[in-house]
Amino acid sequence: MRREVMTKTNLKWTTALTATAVVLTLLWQGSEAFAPAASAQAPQTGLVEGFEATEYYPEPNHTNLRARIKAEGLNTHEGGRLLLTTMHLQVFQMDGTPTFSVKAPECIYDFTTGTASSTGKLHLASGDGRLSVEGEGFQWQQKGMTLIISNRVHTVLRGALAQKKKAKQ
Amino acid sequence: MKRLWTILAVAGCGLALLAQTNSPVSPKPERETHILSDLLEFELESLNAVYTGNVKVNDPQMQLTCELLTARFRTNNGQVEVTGIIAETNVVIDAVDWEGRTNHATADKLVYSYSVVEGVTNQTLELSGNAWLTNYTLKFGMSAEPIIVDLVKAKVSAGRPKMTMQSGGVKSFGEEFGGKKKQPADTTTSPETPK
Repeated sequence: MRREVMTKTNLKWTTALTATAVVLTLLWQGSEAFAPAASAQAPQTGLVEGFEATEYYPEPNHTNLRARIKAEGLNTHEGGRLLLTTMHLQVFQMDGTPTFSVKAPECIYDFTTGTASSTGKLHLASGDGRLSVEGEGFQWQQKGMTLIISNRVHTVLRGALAQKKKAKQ
Repeated sequence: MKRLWTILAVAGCGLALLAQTNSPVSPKPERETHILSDLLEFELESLNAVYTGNVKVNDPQMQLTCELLTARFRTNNGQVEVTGIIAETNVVIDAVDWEGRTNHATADKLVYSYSVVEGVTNQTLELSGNAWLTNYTLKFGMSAEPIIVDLVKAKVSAGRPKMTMQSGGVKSFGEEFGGKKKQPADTTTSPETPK
C-alpha cells in the first residue's frame, strides 16, 4: 500500500516535470527560431518600437545570418499575431552579403508559422539594384525563404538580361 | 534550284533578324526589362521566380506575352543575372529590329538559356510546340519544330521548316539583296533546314 502511494506521488512529479520541460523547450525553440528582440518587452496591447526577428543558417553555419525582419513599430493582432509597421526584410548570403531587401508599410507577422503577410503594397530590391519588384498583397514564408506577391506584380530588370557577346571560338 | 536558294536565303536572313532583335547591335549599358503579371512566387535563396497570369514582358527589343513564365537568376560577383527563362502557354513574341522590321512569333513554349562555360558565352532561344514565325516586313511566315536561335553566333536552326510567302514579299526582299528573279505569289514549300 505504501509502495503504491509512493508510485502515484512519483508519477505526479514526473508528469509535472515533464510538462514543465515541454513548455520550457517550446519557449526556448520559439525564441531561438525567431529570436524576436522586442517580444520580451512587448505588452499585450499598445505600440512598441524597434521590432527585430532574425533567422540563421542551419548547422554548421548557425552563426551566419540568413534573414532579418525589422519594423519601426509593432502592435498585437488577433490570433496572437503581430502587426508590424514599416517592415523591412533583409535576406543574406552565407558570407553576409545582403541579396534582397523587402519593404512594406505594414504586415502581419505570425510566429507560429513564420510568415509575414499583407494586402498592402510591397517593394523588393536586389542588393545591386538590378532587380526590383513591386506588387500588392504578399506573403513571406520564412521556412522556404519564399515570397508570394498576389496582385499587380511589376518586375524591373536593369542590365540583368545578358547582352550579346561574341564568343571566342 | 535558284528559287530554292532564294527561299533558303529568305528563311535564314529572316531568322537571323529575329536573333538580332533579341541582342541589340549597340546595347545600352542599362537595358531595362519590365515583367508584368498577376502573381509571382519568388524563392529568394534558389533565385527561382515563377510568374503566372497575364504575363507581359516589355523590353527595348521585344514584347512577349504568355500565361506562365519561369525566370532563373544567379548572383555573379554580387550582380543579379538572368540565366534562364521559360515561357509557356500561348507564347506570343513581337520583336522589332533596329531597322524597324517587325518579327512576330508564336509557340507553346519558349526557352531562353544563358551560360558561360570556360570563357565561352552560350545564349540561345528555342521556340517549340506549334512554333510559327512571321516577318511582316519581308512578308513571309514559317513553321518549324523547333526553332533554335543562337544569339551569340547569330545562327539559326529550324527542324522540319515549312514556309509561306505573300505576294511581293520575296520580290522586295530579293531586290533588296540583289535578287532579280520575280517570285510567284503565295508559294508554300518545305526548304531544307537553313544553315
